[in-house]
Amino acid sequence: MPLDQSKSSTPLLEVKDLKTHFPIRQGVFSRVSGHVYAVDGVTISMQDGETLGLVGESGSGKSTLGKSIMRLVEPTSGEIKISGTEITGLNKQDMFVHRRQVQMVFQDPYSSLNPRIPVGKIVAEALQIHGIATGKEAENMVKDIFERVGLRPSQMRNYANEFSGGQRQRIGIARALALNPKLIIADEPVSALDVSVQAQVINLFMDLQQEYGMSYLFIAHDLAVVAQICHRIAVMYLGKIVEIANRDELFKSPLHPYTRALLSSIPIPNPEIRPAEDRVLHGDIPSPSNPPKGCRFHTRCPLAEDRCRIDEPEFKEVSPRHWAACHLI
Amino acid sequence: MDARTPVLELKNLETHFETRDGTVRAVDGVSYSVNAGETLAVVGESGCGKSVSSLSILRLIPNPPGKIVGGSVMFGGEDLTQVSEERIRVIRGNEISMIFQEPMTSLNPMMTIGKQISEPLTQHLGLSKKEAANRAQEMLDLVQIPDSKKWLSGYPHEMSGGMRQRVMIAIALACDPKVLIADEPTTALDVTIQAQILLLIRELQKKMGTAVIMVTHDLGVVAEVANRVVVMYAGRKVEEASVKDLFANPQHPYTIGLMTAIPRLDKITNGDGLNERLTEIPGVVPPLYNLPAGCAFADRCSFATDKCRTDKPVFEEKSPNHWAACWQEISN
Repeated sequence: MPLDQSKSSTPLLEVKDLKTHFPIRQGVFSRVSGHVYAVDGVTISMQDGETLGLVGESGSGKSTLGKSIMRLVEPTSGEIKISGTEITGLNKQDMFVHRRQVQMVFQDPYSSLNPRIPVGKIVAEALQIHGIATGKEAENMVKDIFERVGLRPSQMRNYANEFSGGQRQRIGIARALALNPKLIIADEPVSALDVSVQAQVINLFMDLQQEYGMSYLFIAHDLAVVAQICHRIAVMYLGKIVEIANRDELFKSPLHPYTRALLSSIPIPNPEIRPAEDRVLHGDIPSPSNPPKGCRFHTRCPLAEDRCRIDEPEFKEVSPRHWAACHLI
Repeated sequence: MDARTPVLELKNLETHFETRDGTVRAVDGVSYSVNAGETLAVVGESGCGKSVSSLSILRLIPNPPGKIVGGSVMFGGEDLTQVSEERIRVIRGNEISMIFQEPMTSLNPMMTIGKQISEPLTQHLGLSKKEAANRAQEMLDLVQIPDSKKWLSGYPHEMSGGMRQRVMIAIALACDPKVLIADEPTTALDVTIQAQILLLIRELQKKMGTAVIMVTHDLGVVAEVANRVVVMYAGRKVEEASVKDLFANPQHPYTIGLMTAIPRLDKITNGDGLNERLTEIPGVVPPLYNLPAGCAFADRCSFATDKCRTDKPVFEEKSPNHWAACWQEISN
C-alpha cells in the first residue's frame, strides 16, 4: 500500500469539531426532551488516496459521522471541507455538485438497491442525474464499470433479487464508482457477507484504489477487516474519536484503554492462543443520550482515576501522527 | 474424552425442504456427536446446513416445507426424530436447550424477565411459583446481571443486547440441561460484549458440565471455545478434527480456503505483516436444490480433478481422529 504522506497540500477531507445531535421528542406535542449526542465534536482529516478506517461499537456514532459527511443527516455544528470547500452551508444545488466527489457504499446490499429497476439502469441513473452521460454512451460506460467490478455486462438487465449478496455489493460499488468520486464512504460494506465472499470484496476495494487512486473512509466494527484495508485507523467511542494512528502503530502500540480492550476482545483464529481471562471489558456502552461526564470511557475503564470522572481528557498528539484522548498517557 | 458415550449423537441426518425450485437438501447425511462437558463447534457459511442441523435436533424445523427425512438423533437411548410430540416438548428447554442469535426476537416482549425464566421451571421441574422466582433470581446472579432482584420485574426492551443474551442463557440453563445448543449466540453483539458472553458460556459449562454445540461462522470464536470442530459445506460435513489439529493441519480445501480468506490481525501484532491481498475462494456456494454429482466444492477448488466432479468424496480418517471428505491428498 504505497501512500506518499509527505504531500500535504489541501487535505481531501477536513472535518472540524463536527457535532450531529438528534432531538428526542416525547409526548403529544412532540416536545424535545433530550438529545442523542451521536457525533459530539469530531476532528479528522484525510489525504488523497488514503484509506481511513473508522471503528467502534454500535452506538459509537461511526455511521452517523459517515452520513454527516455526505450530509445525508444534517450536522448540528462544525465544519466539513472537501478539497478545501466548506460544504455544511451549501444549498441543495451546490451540494448536488459536491456529492459527485463523495459517494457512499452501504452495508446492506439488499435494501440499498431498488428491486424494480434493472441493475444496469441503477448505475446508469447516477450518470444521467449528474449529466455525465445518457443513452448509449451511459450504457457503454456502465458496461466498463460492470466488468471492472467483476460482473458480466450481460447481467445489466437483471434485477437486484437475482444476485447473491457479494454480487449486490459489487453493484453498490459500481454505482459509487460510476461518478469517479475522490472519496468513497463505505459503511460496513462487508459485514453482511460470508467470509469467502468478504475476501473477494475486500480485494476489489483494494484493487480499485490502486487503479483509480480514490480515498476510502471505511467504517466497520471488524478490526481485522479494517486492518487489512486501511492506512490509518480512528477509534470512536460515544461520539468522540479516542485514538487515531497509522495502522501498524495502532495495532502494535495502542494507547487508549478502550482501543486496547477492543483489540484484546477479538477472538484470534488460533487455538494455541487462548484468551486472557482479564481481557473482558465490563458493562455496556452507555447511552449516547446521556454520556458520562469527564472521560466518556471512565465507566468501563479498568484504569479510571478521580480526574477521569471529572475532566474531559484532551485529544493530543502523543507521538508523531499518533493521537489519543486519555489522562493517563 | 473419546472413550465415553456421547450425550447426543446425530447419525446420517437428512433434513430437506420442498421449494418451488425443487428439493433443498439443507442437511444431507450429517453425523456428529458431543460428549458431556465438551464444546463442539459446527462451522460454515450461510446455507451450509449448520443451523438446520442444530434445529433438527429439537425438531424445530417448520413442516411444511421442511422435514427430517432420514437418519437419527440419539439422546439417552431415544431417537429424537421418532419420539412423540409430548416427549420432545419435555426434552426441549429441559434436557436440551437452545440459544439463538437474536435475543430480542427470542424473548417475549410482553412478559417480565422473571416470568420468562421461571416458566420452564414450573412447567418442567414442577417448582412452586415462589421456588421458581427464587431460582430465577439465582440464575440472573449466575449470568452476572447486576441488580438481579430489580430485573425480575423488568422487560426485555429495557435491556441491552448483551444483557438479553445473558437472560437467554439464564433461561436455557435454568433446568440444568445436558446439552446446550448455541446458534450464533454472539453474532449480533459487539466484540467487547461477545468476549463477555463467550467467557460466561465457558465458565458456566465448567461449573455445570454441560455439553455445548456452538454453531458459528466465525473461526475466531471456534478457536476460542471449541474442543472439537465440524466443518460443513453445502449440507454435508467436509471435515472433523480436534480444534488444534484443524487449525494446525486443515485437510479439506474448503477449510484451508476459509482460514486463508480471513484477515489476520495476529500477523500485524507479531510483526509478520499483512498480506497485500486476501486469498479468495472463487465463486459461490452451488444451489442446494441442484447439487453437482461429485464434490459440491469442486467448482471452487483449486485441487479439483475430474474424479472430484463425478464422484462424491468419502468421509475418511486422514490421520488419527482427523476426518475429511476429499479425494485429494492435501499437505500443508
